[in-house]
Amino acid sequence: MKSVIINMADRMKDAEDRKLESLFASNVIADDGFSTRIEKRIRRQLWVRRLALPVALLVGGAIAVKPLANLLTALFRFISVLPENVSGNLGVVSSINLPQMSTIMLGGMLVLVAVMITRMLED
Amino acid sequence: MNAGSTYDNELVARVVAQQDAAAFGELVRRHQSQVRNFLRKLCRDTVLADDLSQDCFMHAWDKLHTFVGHGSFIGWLLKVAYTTFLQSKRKSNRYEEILQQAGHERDSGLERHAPTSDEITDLDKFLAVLTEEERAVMILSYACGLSHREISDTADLPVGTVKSIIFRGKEKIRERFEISDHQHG
Repeated sequence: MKSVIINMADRMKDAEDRKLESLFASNVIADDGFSTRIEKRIRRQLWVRRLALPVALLVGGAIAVKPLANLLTALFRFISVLPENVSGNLGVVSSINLPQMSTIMLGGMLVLVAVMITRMLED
Repeated sequence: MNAGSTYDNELVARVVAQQDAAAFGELVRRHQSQVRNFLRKLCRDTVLADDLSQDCFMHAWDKLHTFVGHGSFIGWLLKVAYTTFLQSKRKSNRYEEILQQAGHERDSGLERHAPTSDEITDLDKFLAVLTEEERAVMILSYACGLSHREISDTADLPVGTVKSIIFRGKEKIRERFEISDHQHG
């Protein structure tokens, strides 16, 4: 009831309101290709968005393929060496057999990127 | 809800569900005049207003999923337009500050195409005596025909504040002008 009264009060206009309305009134602006321009921009944006993920995956994959192969090789070598050292020398692993810091960092980054891509795909 | 807003809601649903650019184009065609008129009055610069209108519709495209159908679509669209205008104004002010700090003086981006004295209408004179917020609320009320509640949603102000701003705006105009003979702006 209260809102009905408020809405009615909104609609009640005096002469001054009507004069102001006519003063503020403006002609309809012709489209003149305005909506077509917006539509074109949107279609372009849609294409860019559709292409962005595959292109990013392709470029990222091309960059990551070599370090990833190195990482996997190092990881397999480490796994095969670790049990011998653990049993023979109380867990002291030769630094030669351990993956380098840069490889570990790269691996971490790749895992992060993979998680991010999975989330994006889920979205 | 009238047939117009039902059709708007159908188009919005199509855009959100299918990313349908053609349906959005139809929404633009239906509402571009009102949005451009609102921004033209707010900026008092046709070129800038049309640029902002394009930005407004691009923002609307990105944020359309946030329109849940409460209130009219045009009310929501005008809110996007007003936010776009405020963001542009803020950027322009920041740019001015940087220029001033650097010792340059240049016209504000939002007033670079200020009308000449011949082009100034009665409406321009009226709007000139109002603050930016008053101007926006008065335009939304008298040019766009929004209710106080819709203006409250659009400008993010309480309904009471909207009413007092309109009252104050009318007072200011009344103090300085005789609202009788006028030319349309």
